[in-house]
Amino acid sequence: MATISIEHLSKSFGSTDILKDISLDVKDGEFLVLLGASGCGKSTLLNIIAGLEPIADGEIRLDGEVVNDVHPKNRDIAMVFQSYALYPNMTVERNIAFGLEMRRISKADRKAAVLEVATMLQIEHLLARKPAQLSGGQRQRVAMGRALVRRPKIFLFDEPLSNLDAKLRGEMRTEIKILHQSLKATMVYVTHDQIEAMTLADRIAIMKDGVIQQVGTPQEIYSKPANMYVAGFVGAPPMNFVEVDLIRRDSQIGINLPAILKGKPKDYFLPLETSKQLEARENTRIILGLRPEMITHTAFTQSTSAEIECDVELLEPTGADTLCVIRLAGHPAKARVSPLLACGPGESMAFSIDTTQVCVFDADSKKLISSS
Amino acid sequence: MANPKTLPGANGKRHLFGRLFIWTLLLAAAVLYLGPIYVVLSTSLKDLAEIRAGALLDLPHELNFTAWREAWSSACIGVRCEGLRPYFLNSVIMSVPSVAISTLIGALSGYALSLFRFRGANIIFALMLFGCFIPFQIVILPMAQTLGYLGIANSITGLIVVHTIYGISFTTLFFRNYYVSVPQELVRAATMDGAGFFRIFWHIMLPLSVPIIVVSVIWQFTQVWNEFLFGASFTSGGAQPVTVALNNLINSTTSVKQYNVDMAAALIAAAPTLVVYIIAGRFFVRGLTAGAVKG
Repeated sequence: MATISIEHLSKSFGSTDILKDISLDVKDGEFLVLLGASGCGKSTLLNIIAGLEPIADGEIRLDGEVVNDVHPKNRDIAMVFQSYALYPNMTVERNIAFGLEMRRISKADRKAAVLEVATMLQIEHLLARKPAQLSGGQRQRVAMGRALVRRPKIFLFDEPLSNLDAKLRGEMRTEIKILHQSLKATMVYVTHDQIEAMTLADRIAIMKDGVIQQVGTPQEIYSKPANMYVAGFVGAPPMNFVEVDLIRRDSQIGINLPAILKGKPKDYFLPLETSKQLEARENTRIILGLRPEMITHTAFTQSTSAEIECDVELLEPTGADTLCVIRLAGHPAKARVSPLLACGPGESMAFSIDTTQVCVFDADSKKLISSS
Repeated sequence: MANPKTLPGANGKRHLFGRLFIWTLLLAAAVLYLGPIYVVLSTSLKDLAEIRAGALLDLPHELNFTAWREAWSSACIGVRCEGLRPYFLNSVIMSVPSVAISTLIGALSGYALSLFRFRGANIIFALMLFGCFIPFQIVILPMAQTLGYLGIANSITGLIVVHTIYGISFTTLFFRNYYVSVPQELVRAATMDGAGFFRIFWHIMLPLSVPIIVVSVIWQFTQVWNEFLFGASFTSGGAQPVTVALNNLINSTTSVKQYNVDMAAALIAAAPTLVVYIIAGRFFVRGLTAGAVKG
């Protein structure tokens, strides 16, 4: 059993507030990812869970026990650092065993434990080396080994993959996920990489300026982002935002979507699913959030879609999909179409917009009004 | 890459003149520095008759180490005629502990100031830096009184205390600036592994500190060994360090000025710092710049 419960936590460095009234629960065996841009306070939050930073205000409980003033070494937590923080003067074996050594575990037991972990991570042939003689990926494994060898209740990861090249990052990501499934330990993972967050997490907590914006499963975060920040942060390419008026035409609520066809402005009416929240905002300014895959080619589309035709300014082939840059309400927006059905550059093309999936945000508060 | 031969100034007369100028300058500087050392060395190997007869710059006729022997073990300093040897030993007994203790304390305080950023760490560091700028002369009187209160006036122990305290400012500065470039995450990782302040210091920081320890040892040894004012002020007679004894040896002329003995004594007194520089000198420069580059 290992749960983390954070209540009304605040932290400031000098006059700068780093964390503002954070409340968060991590369930036993859960993989929680703290996602956010640099400086949002996610690493500070992780350090606080580890006990490396003192808390100004609030409470943090591990397994229901308040640990505000418990020293890191007594929290039964292990942490993997971004720079790996391997001890340069020690061999890999001693690096991994150091935590056990500090806990006065006998030499024979240490050796056995190190060997077991090293075998699991496939680094047993590196045990006699110093960190300087290892590649980035190998250092990363040693850092993982150092955390694993103590068999702690909770693992903390502070951007552990950000110093690896893209291919290795993908491999290690898979390994961490396998590790989590086999250990069933509680893990908190900090990253600024939304793909890492989406692929690894049971739940994601998105942070901005020391405030948690949303906590939810990757799917919830993706399809029902709580506000425009979350919507724009998750997903690549990011969600398109179109500022438009919410109107009613022939008893159907919807929006007027200005596009450009053959160089001339052309407005399309986009019907939206009626809801109380939308009706209350009739004739006000809203922001429509459209993910690139919601704007796609017209073939094989469902009847729930609206169709528009407009000029394509730019094509960005990515292999699996081709991104078309079109202009909606005066701003560039990206549509994701099949490379087989994409038009040529400078031509115009018909797109279908899946109106059941769109997100509607309040133009002032930037918060989600409704999504389907 | 650009061809170095086509770069401006790489060829031709100007380049040659530039080189000549630099070499001449370097040669002149070398002569200027090495000339006096040559005179001291050659004089120490001559006997008195040769010194009186010959020119200053002549090489000695034969290698005559009598003056060295006399300076080491039988030259008269004041009324004692035992040479520099007892005072040389005084200096060794004085410098070894002061260098070791001040380096260790500097390492500890530098570590605390850089990696355990407690409240007020920067103010304390700034105050410690003041120690580097306090001239010796200012503290002589209060220091003498303090040593008197402590009952260690006129003793080597007293000098050890003075040099240790004086050195801490410098060693702290060295170690603090070195440790600032050590990633904070290393300390955090060790904390998570269950190591405390001293165990992190002992198991992780000290093994990383070899270059800066060399710097600190050379610096402190040179300072302590060559120091004259404290030695002259706080000790007398048998407790004096070699620098003071050298001064007394040269000043206590009985009949004839024995230049060869004086020169030999000066070289004996200077030898240890020279040896330390020759052995560890290249680490010195490397260590001074080590903080700037990450491994």
